Parts: sequence; structure tokens; C-alpha cells
Amino acid sequence: MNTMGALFELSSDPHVRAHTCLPQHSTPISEPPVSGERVLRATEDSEDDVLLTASPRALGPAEETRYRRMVEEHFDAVWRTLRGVGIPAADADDCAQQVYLVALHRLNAIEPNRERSFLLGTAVRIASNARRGRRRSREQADSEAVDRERDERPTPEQQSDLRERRAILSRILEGMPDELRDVFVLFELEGLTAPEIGEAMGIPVGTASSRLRRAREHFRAQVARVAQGERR
Amino acid sequence: MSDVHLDEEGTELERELLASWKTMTAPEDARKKALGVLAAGATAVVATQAAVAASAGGKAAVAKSAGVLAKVFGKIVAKVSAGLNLGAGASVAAPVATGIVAKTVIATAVVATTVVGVEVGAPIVREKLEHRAMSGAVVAPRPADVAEAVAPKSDVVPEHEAPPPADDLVVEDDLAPEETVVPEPAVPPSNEPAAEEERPAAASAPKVVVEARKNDVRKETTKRTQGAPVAAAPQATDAVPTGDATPKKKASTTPAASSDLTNALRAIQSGREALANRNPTAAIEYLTVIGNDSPLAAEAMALRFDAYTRAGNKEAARYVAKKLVTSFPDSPYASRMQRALEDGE
Repeated sequence: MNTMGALFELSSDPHVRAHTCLPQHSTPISEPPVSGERVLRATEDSEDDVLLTASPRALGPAEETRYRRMVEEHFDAVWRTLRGVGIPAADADDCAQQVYLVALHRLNAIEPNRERSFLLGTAVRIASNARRGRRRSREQADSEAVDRERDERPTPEQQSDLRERRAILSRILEGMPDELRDVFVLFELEGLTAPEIGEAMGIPVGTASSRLRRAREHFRAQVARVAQGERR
Repeated sequence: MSDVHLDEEGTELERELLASWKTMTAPEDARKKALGVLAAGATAVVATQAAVAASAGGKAAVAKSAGVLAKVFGKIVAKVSAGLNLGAGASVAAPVATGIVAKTVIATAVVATTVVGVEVGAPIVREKLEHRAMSGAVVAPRPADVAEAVAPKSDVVPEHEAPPPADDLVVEDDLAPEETVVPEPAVPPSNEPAAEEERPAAASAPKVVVEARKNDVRKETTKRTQGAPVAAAPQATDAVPTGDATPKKKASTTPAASSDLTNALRAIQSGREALANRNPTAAIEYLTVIGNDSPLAAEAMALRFDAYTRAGNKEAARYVAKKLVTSFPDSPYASRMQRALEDGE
């Protein structure tokens, strides 16, 4: 048998869900039997269903390779996106795993060349679910977890400067409304195009554009305040 | 929306802030955790087969050996994971996979003992699972729990609560909800049945069919008319090259990719014309619709570099040149960009 991948079963237990990035509510799966087959209807809550009852499924070698590449090529972007949209470093790995669980299960539905927008869109959605469950300040993220994040710059001075800049950006993002922040992160930090964002978030391109415009206004106003503070 | 990013047109501080975020990379253990999910599959599928075999045979012996199986599979998956070169991912996957085995074994035990009129131990395991779940632990029963629970007892009193019929158990294992509120799937997962059939043990189980969204109806119908679920069903992943470092061009045979390419070509053409008409601003507007994932990304960047240079925006031009050199070092434009960067030093 080929090497295989699978989703493992996730708990519907509310106590478990409270400790994960799973949606904080659940809806039973609709299972109308039709001619001996089960038809799974696509509903607004279907993502919850997937996360709740994901079950093992075989992967062929090509699928497995594809999955591995998705991890190798896009994991950093998924991680940054989760952090950018407000997931504390301590929780980001759980959420990232959730993103990849969904991706693994939906592997055949992801068009070639759209892996990145799929993953980042899923990350935003999962982060949104996680935020719904608990509102945690980004500053609450433990410093140890933040230290695990690696930087490309080597020197301590650069590290320090980088961390300072990143902390400023983090505070600015934290003050941004969720719907603006999601678009801002996907566009400005991860380089998705407006149509990709619209597709990933399930919103019209016009809506994505207007959110981005407002997000930029917010960002620029905050940066200007920071710059003023630095000049003083 | 203007597709020009702030790190091209923003202030220095804005660019620095954004750049600081882009250098962040994920911890290695988090990445391995995502890879570890893959390794969980091997054991899970084997376990599914065991469950089906038990439901078909109704052998109490399967239940007797369930605890042992759970332990053994835990070890096997660790070895399999190591064989797959998963590194530390295996350590994550092994307990998870063991859990899957154990859970499936619970189902096996219930099925098998239903046949002989005795339900063994599943409630015990469930209780332990709930207890562990309360403490936020991984939702996987420990092999020892399973072993204890499924150990045959001669004086076991049959449960009043009727266990689910064997078919339901199998279905539960195979019930893979396909739809999610994740980004709009452009290709319906109609090849799910094919994946199901790769598992011999699941052959008798009811198939899971996904009702496609409205947008997917056309493709779904096309695939259904093609008939054969395994051989004829064109898996989306078949089109994905496995070892090619630049997969985008190969995959452009799909309608969406082809559409993307057409749009990108148009944008390139418009950008060139705008540049020829000495309108670099318009050229930039045209060219920035081309994403970094586009097969023409390098060409678009090179043209944007020219446009910024002509517009007198040296900073943005330099940024784009750097981006091209780092993102597409093998591009034919890279050497020109490198020279431009060196000249600008």
C-alpha cells in the first residue's frame, strides 16, 4: 500500500475545543441517506463539521508529495498570517496544524497554484474562530513562545531592531478591526492579490478593496503617530 | 483597489515595519507538527481495515487482541514515520496514530462483541477519554486504557444501551465531511470516492459523496459523466508536478490557471504599451495585478522596475529589483536587476 496520510479524529468535547483553535460551536452533520450513499451538504457550518469529525483518508504518493510541499513552501506564511491576525505565538502552532488538517482533507479540491491563497484564507478563518472563543491580548503571548520564532537577520543589533519594529506593527495590527486586519495582513504582508483575498475570504473583490483602503488609512495614521513619538 | 503595496509606495517607516514582519519564520517544531499529521494516516487506514474485518467476521478474538494491536501499531507508526524521513514529526504522529488505532479498536471491540452479545469495555475507554479531554490532553486513548477496557471478562454484564449496528460504525469511520467554509473550492472533490476505493476494507462501506456547491456543479457533472471513479476520475493532484521546482507552468492546463495566465499576459502587454507611451504610473497599475505566484511574476517585476525607474522612484525600483533577485534568482531578468542594484550602491 502506498504511503498514506490521514486526518485524525478531533474531539467534539467542548472542554477540548476550548483549548484548541476549533470553532467554539458545533452543528450536527446533516446526513440524509440517498440511495445508500451519504450526501454531505455544504453549509455555512460545514467547516466545523470537517474539523469535528475529520476521518482518515488515504493519500497517494503524488498527494503526499503535494502536501509536503505545501508545508515546506507555505508554512511560514501560514504562521505569519496567524500571528498577524491576532493569534498568540503560544497558540499559533495548534492553529497552523488545524489549517493543514483542513488542507489535507481538501487536498483534491485545491487547484494547483492556489495552495497559498487556500492556506492563508483557511488560516484567517481558523483564526477568526479562535478569536471568537477567546479574546486574548497579543501581549499575553508568552515571550518564550515568541522567542521560538526565528529571524533571518543574524546580529543582535539587527534582532533587537527587528523585534522592536515587529512589536510596533503588532500593536498597530492589534488596534485594527478584525475584518480590516485580515485583509491588510493578506495583502500587505503576504502579497495576495485582491481577487485572491476575495476568494479566500468569501467576500466580493470590491469589499476587499474597501477594507484594504480603510486598513491602510488606519495603518498610516498609526505609523504617523509612532513616527511623531520617535521624533520627540 | 490599488495593487501597489505599501512597501513600494509607503514611507520608510511603513516599509520597515512591514519588512520586519516578513522576516519572521515559524518554529521548526510547529512545522513538524503539520508534517506529523501525514504520518498519522498510515496507521489510521490499517486500523480502519481492522475495524471492517471485525465487523464482517464478528470475531471476539479481534476484541481480545485489540489492546495489543493498539500498542503494536503505535510502534509501527513510529517506524513508518522514521522511514518517511519525518524526523521529529514522527514523535508527534506516533501517539496520535496510536490514538486512532485505539479508537478504531474500540469500534472493533464493540462490533465484535455485539456479535457475541456482550459489549466490552468501550464505556470505560470513553470515560477515560472524557477525563483526559477535561484536562486538555490529546484526544487519544492510551493503549493501556484500551487494553484494560477491551480485556475479555467472562462475567461482563451486557450493556442496556444497544450498541450501534456494525454498518453505522463503519460509516462513522468513513464519514468524511467534505465541505468547509474554507476558500471557494474551484474543483469539486468528486474524486473522494476514488480515495475511498483505495482502501480495500472500505469497499463495502457506503460511499461518501459531496454535494457540490452551485459554482461547482458544472465540473461535478462533467466528472460524473466520466464514470469510473478511480481510473477515469482525473485527480486534481495528478496535474501537480512532484519534483519540479517551478510547478506553476505545468499546472496551467487547468481552466483557472489558463485564465490567470491569459490575464497576466494581458497585463504584461498593457504594461509594456503604457511604458512605450511614457506612462509609467499606468504601467505599474497594470502590472501589479500579477501576483508573485504567477508564471509571469518575474517579467512583471522587471517591467515594474523599468516603470519605477522611469517614474523616478528609485527606492521602489530598488525594492522590486531586490525582490526579483531573491524570488527568482534563475530568471533571465535577475542578472540585469543585480547589475542595477550594484550600480545603485
